[in-house]
Amino acid sequence: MIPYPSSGLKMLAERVLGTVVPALGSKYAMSDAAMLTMLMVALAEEMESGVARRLQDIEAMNGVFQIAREAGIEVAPTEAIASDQQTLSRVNELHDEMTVHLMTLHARVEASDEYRELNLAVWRYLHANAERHKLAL
Amino acid sequence: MTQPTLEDVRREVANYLADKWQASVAVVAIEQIFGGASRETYLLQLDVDGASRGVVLRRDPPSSLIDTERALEYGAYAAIYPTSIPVPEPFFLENDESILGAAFSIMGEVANAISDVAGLSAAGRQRIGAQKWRLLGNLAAMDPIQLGFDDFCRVPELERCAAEQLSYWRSVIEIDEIHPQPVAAAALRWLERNLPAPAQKLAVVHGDYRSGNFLYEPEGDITAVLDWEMCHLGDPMEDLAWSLDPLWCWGNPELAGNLLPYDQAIAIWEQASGLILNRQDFYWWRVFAAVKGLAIWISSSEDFHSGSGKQSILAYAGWAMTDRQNRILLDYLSPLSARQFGGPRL
Repeated sequence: MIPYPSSGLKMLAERVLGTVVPALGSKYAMSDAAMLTMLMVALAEEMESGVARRLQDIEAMNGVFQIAREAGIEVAPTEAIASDQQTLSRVNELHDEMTVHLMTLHARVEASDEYRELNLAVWRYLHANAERHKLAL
Repeated sequence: MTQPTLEDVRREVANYLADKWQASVAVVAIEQIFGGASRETYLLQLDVDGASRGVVLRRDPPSSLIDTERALEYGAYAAIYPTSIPVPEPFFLENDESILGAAFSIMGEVANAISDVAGLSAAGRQRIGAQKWRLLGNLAAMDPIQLGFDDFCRVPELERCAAEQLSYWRSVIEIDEIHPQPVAAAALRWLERNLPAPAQKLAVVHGDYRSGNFLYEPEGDITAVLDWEMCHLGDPMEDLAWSLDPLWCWGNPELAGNLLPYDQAIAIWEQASGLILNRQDFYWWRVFAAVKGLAIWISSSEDFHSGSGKQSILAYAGWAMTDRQNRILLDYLSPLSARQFGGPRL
C-alpha cells in the first residue's frame, strides 16, 4: 500500500528528472522527459485535491442556481453524490452536468438588465473556478 | 512503416534525396526537434557529393495540435520564399506514405539561428521585436493573389473573414471539448454579437505568428518565419491580434511576445502595413485570438485523451495552456475583471 500516492508520484517525478533525464542521449528525449515529469507533478496535485476542488465548484454552482431560482428561473435539479461515492470520475460527471446548466443560465441572463446580479454571480463563479484550478506549470 | 526510427529516417531520406538530386547523399547527423507539435520535425546534416548541407524534414504525425494540410503549408513556403519575408527554402513535398509511413516535406536548414527570445537583452528585444512586427506589417501589405495564394487557399469575401474564422474555431471547440467550456461559450456568444467591420484588405494570414515561430541570429536579424501550417487568406488584423495575445508574453506582461510594449508593436505594424487599426474591431480580433488559442488547446487535450496522440506537448497544451487562456478570456470579457491584459471595458 502507498498511503500517500501524490507525494509518491512527486518523488518518482523528481527521480526521473534528477537521474533519468540527464542520462538520456538526445535533446528531444530530454525535453520530452522533462515535460513528462512536470505533468506528473501536476497530476500529483490533482490526485491530492482534485475531488475537493470540484466539490467546492459544485457547492458554488448550487449557490448560483439558488439565486436563479429565487429570481424565478428554473434550473434542472442535480443529484448529490453520497460521501462514500465521491471518486474523481463520479465528481467529474456531476461537475460537467452542472456546468452545462450554468452555461445555459449564463446565456439566458448575460444580456438582461433584470438579471444583472445573477449574471455577476455567474462571472464571480467563473473567476473563483479559474483561481481554484490554477496550475503552477 | 508506422513510426520510423531515427535510423529509418536517416536511410530513407538519404535514398530519397539521392534520387531527387541525382547525387551521392549521406546523412552525417540527425536529430528530432522537440516542440514542433504540428509536425514531427527532424534536422539532418548531409554530405551531398562531398559538400555539407543541412535540411529540415517535416513529417505528418499521427496526431497534432493543429489539424492542417501539408500541401497548404508547403504552398505557403513556396509562395513566400521569393518575397522579402524570410522563410526556409522549400525543396520537396512528398505525399507517398510508403517512404516514411506518412507524407513529409523537406526544406533547407536555417543555420546558426535560434527561436527562444527569453535570453535576449533589452536592446535585443527592441531589435528583434521591431523586425518581427515590421515583417508582419510587410506581409499584411502584400497582395495574396499576386503571390499565387489563390491557387491553394480559399479566397473569402472581405465581409465574411471574421465570421468564417469564428465559425471554424467554434466547430473545433464543439467537436473536441471533453468537458463543457463555460468561458469559451461566453466568449463565442460575445464574438457572435459583436462581429467587426469587413476587412480593410485581403491579406495572407500566417495563422500562428508569435515568438517561437521565427528564427533569428543571436546578434543579427530574423532569418526565417516558420510554421505556416495554419495560413489562410483573411483579415490582417487576425495575425496582429494573435501575435499580441498575452499567452506569448511568457511572464513579462508588459511586453508583447516578450519583446516590445504593445503600443509600440502596433505602431510598427501600422507603419509597415500602411493600415490603421480600428481599435474597437481590433479588440474583437484579440478576443477571437484567445478563443482560437483555447480551441487549439482543447483540441490537443482531446487528441491526448483519445489516444490519437501521445506526445507530452499535447497533454501540456491541453492542460496548462487551456488554464491560462481561460484566464485571459475572463480578463477580457468579465465585468468583474481587473483588466490585467488591457482592452476596453465593454
